[in-house]
Amino acid sequence: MRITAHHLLERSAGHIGAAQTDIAKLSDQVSSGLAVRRASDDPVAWIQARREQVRAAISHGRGDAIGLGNDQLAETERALGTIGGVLSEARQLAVQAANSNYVADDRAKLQLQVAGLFSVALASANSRNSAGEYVLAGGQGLVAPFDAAGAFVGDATRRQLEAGEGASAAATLSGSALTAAVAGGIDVLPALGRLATALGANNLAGIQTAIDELDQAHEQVSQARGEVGSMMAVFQDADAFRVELENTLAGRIAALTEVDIIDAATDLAQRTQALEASQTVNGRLASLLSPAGR
Amino acid sequence: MSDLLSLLGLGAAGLSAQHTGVAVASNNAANVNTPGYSRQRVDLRAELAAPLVGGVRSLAPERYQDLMLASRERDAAGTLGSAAAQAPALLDLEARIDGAGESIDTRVAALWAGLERVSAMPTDSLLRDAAIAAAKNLADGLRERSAAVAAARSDADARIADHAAQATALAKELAALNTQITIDGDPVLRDRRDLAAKQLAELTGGSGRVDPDGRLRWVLPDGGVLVDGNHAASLEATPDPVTGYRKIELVDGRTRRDVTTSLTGGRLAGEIAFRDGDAATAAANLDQLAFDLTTSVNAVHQANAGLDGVAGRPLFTPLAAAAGAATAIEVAPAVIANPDQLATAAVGAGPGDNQGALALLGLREQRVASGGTQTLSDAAIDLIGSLGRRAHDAQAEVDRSTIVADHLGDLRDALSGVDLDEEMSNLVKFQHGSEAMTRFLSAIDGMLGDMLDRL
Repeated sequence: MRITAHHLLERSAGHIGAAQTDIAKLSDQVSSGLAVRRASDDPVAWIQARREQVRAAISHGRGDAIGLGNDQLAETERALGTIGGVLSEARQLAVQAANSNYVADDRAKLQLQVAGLFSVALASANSRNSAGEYVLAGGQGLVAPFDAAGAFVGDATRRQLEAGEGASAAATLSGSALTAAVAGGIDVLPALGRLATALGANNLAGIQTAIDELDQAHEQVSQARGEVGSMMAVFQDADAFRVELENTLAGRIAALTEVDIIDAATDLAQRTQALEASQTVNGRLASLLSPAGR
Repeated sequence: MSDLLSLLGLGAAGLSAQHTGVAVASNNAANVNTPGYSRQRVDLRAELAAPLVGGVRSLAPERYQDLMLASRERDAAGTLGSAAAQAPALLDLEARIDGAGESIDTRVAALWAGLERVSAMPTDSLLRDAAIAAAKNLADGLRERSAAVAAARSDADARIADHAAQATALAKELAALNTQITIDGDPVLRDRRDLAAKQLAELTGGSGRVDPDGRLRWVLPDGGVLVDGNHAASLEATPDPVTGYRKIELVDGRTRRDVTTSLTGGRLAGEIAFRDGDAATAAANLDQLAFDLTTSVNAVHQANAGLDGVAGRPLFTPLAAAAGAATAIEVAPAVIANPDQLATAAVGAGPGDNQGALALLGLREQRVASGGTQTLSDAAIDLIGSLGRRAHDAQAEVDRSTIVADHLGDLRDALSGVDLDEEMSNLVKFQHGSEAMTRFLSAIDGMLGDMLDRL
């Protein structure tokens, strides 16, 4: 093949241009840390990375929801804890009132204390979350679930929340857990009311019955608290798994899109050498081909 | 006497031939960097010795050329032109759709995340506001992308008009050069014509053929003749009321023919393929995504109830058809005005219920997009991914075509390029020839002088 001076210089200039393009691309990758920034860089890797990013974003939203669900369950647990405490205290007062040394006047004073405890229990049963929603109201979140007499007026709906990809779990406990709707259960708050009534009526037999009911109610509340605790444990596990998943996804995204700095730096050094060699060759060619170099 | 005079004629012819050689070599050297220049050679022909005294004669300078190679160069220029037009346009469109602000798939994911939060606390007004804002952000994003695609198509349309005008100017230049070449066979005119033909190939594709009369005829891929001898038709970009963009017409006198879809090479074809192919597909995909999103979300939303217990209301303003959906999509104004209308509860279940929100979330995994073949997120990702794949392929095609064009350029340079060393050598050779002829003439002149002195 006939090689002209023009051809030699064109080739040399082409090599310099190619080396400069490579260096610019590698420098960009090394400085940004990303090998795949646009779909056109590597369509397959980009699509996979984007899918993982969407999964991560959805998982992040799920984490927020789990956090909110846990807050709601914690609020429920606090309410049930208070009600359980009230029931224990009321039972102690009932046992005290059942003492044969007590007279009607003593029991009337205890009635006042029990009425106060009832108010505390009722307030706890009607407690709200940060959004102002009644935590034990079931699906009727904007209406107080227990009336002034302690009767449940909410519904038995339990909200389900996503605990993971394709998995969900109950995230609320309805106030119906404190009613006779539960197998073997009683209406918890009215039991306090009946104790107060028995105390006011100085009805010893009624007080004895109330003690049994309070025992049963306490057991019922304990079971409800246990259930809430189980729900919280489910969501805590789900959250831990979520964090693990997000870390895994972040790793995959990094593997798909980020540049291997060592490889890139090595490559950059090689390309830089290639550029320097091309420039040297070009300089030699220019001097050889210039009239002064002849 | 007559012999000596003949020898004088021989010397004059020889001197002239050597001077022609010097002139051609100098001209070659002077044009070493002229684009499209083909080196020339001078052919010297020996004259018959009898009945005269022989001698030499220089023929008209010839250019080194290979018609087949020139044809292949034009073909390669057409292929490269098409790819070189598409690749940057696709990269630009990719940047317009995915580079500005949050991507569509991110916004889709944000909507799901917002609904997920609402599902945990459906009565929380802040969470409801945030979910509706995410839906609005998604609708805004789709509208912005739709506008960006339309802008990219308009830009391509403007480039198409420019290219058509350039192609027409080149066709006229080719016709004018054809005319000049038939009058004056200067090789430089042929160089200019080759260069113009290559530029025309890069713009329109098609093929050029040199007819037996020496004139170049340019034919478009569908057989339409753009240049025939000294006559040039024109390519006109005229508005097409059907598409709203320009179509390309081959105009020859009163005859007009739409060649928009038949152009297969060159920048014009590349821009048209981008405008009516890739960008149109991107616009259609955006529309389909917006329509699928609206339709599927509304179906679930209308089946559930807001905090007020009322069902049957859409989240997005309903759309009649996929066409234009991405420009029209919006969150229903009533929902924006009253976030309680976000249907998060099952009908009759009470405001604290989250079954509506969960039903909306269920769409996340359902294949409700692209004719039931993809999830909404996957459709959003695929929209950019397929565009990126096309841009990647187009860039690879540019690289491939560039290699082929460079190789053909090398071959052309090897044949027709000027080598200064070679020209310097020729210059010296002809200079020495010229000196020899000068001395020869001096010797004859001396002999004639002697003879005249003795008379």
